[in-house]
Amino acid sequence: MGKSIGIDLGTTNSAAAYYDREVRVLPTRMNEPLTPSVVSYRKSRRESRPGQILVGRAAVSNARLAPEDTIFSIKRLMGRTVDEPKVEEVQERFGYAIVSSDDPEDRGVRVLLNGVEYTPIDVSAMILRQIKEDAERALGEEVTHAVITVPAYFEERQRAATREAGQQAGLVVKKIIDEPTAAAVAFGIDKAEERHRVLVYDMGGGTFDISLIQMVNKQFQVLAIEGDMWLGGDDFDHEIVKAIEERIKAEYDGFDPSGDERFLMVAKQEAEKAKILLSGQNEVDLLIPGITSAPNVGLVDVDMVITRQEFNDMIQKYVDHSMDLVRKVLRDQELGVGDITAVLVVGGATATPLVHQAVTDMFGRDKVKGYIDPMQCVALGAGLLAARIKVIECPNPDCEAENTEDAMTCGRCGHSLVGARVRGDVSVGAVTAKSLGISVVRDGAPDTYAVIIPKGTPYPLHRPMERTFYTTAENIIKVPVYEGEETLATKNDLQGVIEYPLPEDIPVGTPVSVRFDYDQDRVLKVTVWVHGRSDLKKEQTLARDRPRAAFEKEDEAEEEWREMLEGTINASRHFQSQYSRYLDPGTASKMEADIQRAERAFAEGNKIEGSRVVNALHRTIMGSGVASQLFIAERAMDGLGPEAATLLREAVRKLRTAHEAGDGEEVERISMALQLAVARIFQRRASQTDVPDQDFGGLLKDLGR
Amino acid sequence: MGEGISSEDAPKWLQAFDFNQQVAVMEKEYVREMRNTLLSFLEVLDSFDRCFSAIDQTREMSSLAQSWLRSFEGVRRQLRRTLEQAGVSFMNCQGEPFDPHKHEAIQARSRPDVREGIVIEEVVRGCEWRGEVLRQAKVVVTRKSR
Ligand SMILES: Nc1ncnc2c1ncn2[C@@H]1O[C@H](COP(=O)(O)OP(=O)(O)OP(=O)(O)O)[C@@H](O)[C@H]1O
Repeated sequence: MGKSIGIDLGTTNSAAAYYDREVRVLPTRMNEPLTPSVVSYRKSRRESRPGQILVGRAAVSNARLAPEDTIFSIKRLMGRTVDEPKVEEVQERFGYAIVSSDDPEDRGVRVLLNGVEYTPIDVSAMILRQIKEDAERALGEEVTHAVITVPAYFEERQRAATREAGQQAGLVVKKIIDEPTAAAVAFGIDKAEERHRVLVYDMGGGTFDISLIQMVNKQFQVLAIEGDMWLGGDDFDHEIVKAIEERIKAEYDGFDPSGDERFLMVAKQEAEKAKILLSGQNEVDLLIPGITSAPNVGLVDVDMVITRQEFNDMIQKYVDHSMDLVRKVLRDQELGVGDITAVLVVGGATATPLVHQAVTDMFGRDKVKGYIDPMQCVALGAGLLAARIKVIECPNPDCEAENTEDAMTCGRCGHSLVGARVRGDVSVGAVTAKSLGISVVRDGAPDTYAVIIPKGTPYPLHRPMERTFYTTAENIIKVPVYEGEETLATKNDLQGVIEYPLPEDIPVGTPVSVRFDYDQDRVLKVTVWVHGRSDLKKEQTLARDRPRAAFEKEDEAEEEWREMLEGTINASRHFQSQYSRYLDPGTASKMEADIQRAERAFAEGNKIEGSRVVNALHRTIMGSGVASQLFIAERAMDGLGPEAATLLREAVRKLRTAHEAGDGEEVERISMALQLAVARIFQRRASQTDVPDQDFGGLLKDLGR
Repeated sequence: MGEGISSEDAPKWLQAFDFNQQVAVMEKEYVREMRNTLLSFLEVLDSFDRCFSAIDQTREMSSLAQSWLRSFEGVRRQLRRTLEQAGVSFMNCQGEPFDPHKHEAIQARSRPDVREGIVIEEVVRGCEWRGEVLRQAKVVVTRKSR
């Protein structure tokens, strides 16, 4: 089977997380941690051609052009029928059409996208499919399984709808989990032995949710939910925008900018930034030159200071309202503050100090847990569960039997469990198992294999590897990418083809570079560009045709984690013993303290502390001036020819002497040269190819190296 | 392990110390920090752009004011050039077909002389860095004119 991820399928934004030694949120194709939960239809510019369905950031970009073809907040419609009041609320706020189905038997809502009816399940599936693809891109491997979170208040039909969306997106849904439960898992509450009654205070951008959950015997049960569908951090931004408008009115003779859309766009953006800064500092200097202008006033500048206190006064009413709801939940459940054993603060807006303060004032500092990034908490919990849950729950509500991870149908009721293909395992290596290259033309001989990343290259690459070729056709560039060792390109495994047309002004024989980047997640990114023409560049990430790693078992990960920590401790001790006299005293003593921390973490099996200290030590080893350079030079010496080794040794000796003589200028000069030499060695090592010289051909021409 | 400073003191495990991995991790961190730095400098450029685009060309201006304006225009160009030297490339998307991966439409407007789906104004500059979108452009796009 492929990888298993956790998905926080949110109203406004969604996120995916994956566990591998530690749990992390996976970046999207746009390098963002979140995928906006938005789908939009974009018409083709030519009437005759079909349009395109956009998902995520690109859908948001298109929203203003096609408000009636852009679906927001689909989560609010999951499993609902047209006559429900919630549906009306959505209809009032957004521009797209919500209709009932033609089928009189079916009361479910449909939404219209370019005049075509889709169910909320269809739309959620589009979002999930994009999340799956982005996760595969980030991991470099197929993703087949997922745990998906839903709000605690979701009813059975809404949960079933979410599961179906997951399957439609090609995922095997291991389990549907409550968001507060995922948060509790992220905070490690589920590991505790004792009985817990947990309050989750979740304030995001636009919605506020409170859930009260109980944990007995490591099982979660939702006791109560409360909230305000339209309360959150956006309201705080709006208060700052109002303050900006007032200031402008006062300073510019009553000039009111609030009708100007561009003003609002800039003001809102700056307000959110100021708000986030105020979470970490006591005042913020809001400086926005030329935020707007008007014929009679000229340029309007904003230059004001907002203190934390002033900001707190602006948002006090929202925070009070949220705490009233907290008290209401407790009252309804006939519980006192003392009956709650832990409070989890989740959602971006809870990073606001006043919010945090209000919650700790009520429950006491010890009970309130807020040290995990509140925006990512639910996704992280889901990611942990995706790795931990080793079964697939049968989607048949009358069955719910647990099946093994690779099962295709339920062992008890025969219901299908699968929405995706499941593939075999291949094991991992730290060097490329096969060469990666392209098909080129040489001396009229096509189909010749030009290796770009040779077999056995350690990855992730220090630097992308690239080679230059020449165009052979007037109007097109074609770069087929292969993996393998055969000199005839097509005898290798095709990974994908990058192909694009050229404009007429590019003559045959124009240089073209092909760059391969291969990262630690084994994703191959190919960039092809025509020299001197930044517009004739194409970049593509190739889906590898088979997964490279076995499904991560927790004990294997455990083993790897220990090895890594141990290796780092050893490397650090070595570094210390060899180079400590080149370290300044502060760094040296910090290093000693870090090594001891690492040893403690190793002894206690404390993973989080362990990975933190590993990072700190790596930073010291790689970033401590002369000491690090000597260490790196030592690594570069590895396997060098005698001549190069002599040169390098000489440079190292000079560096040491200069350092001992306290000659700063000389140290700088030599270390510069040394750095260059070392970089060149690593680069050369990386580009040594083991393919014979006559291997050129294909559609780009290689004139040799 | 070759001979040299390392031969007598580098034990076996040192060979396993993954240099490339470390460099890659540090490089990722560097890229992230650099992105943020570039983005904040872009905001300074935005302020310049907003201020200059508000200047009313039809109004009389004293020659002193004009010379200041020229100098500030120079500062803006200098900032832009510095960003370009740091590898930032500006999109310049006016007249191009709208591309939702690079542009964010903030307004649709009809223009009888321009066909549908074309960027007619780049309100906030978009740019790329290291072959990736650093920041989407905020644009005005033509809609179908009736
Ligand atoms: N450091 C911070 N301090 C204060 N507010 C922050 C901070 N970081 C993010 N936010 C705010 O958190 C909000 C986004 O939070 P989050 O991503 O949890 O919301 P969401 O889940 O998208 O929203 P929704 O409530 O619609 O589901 C935004 O208003 C953002 O400005």
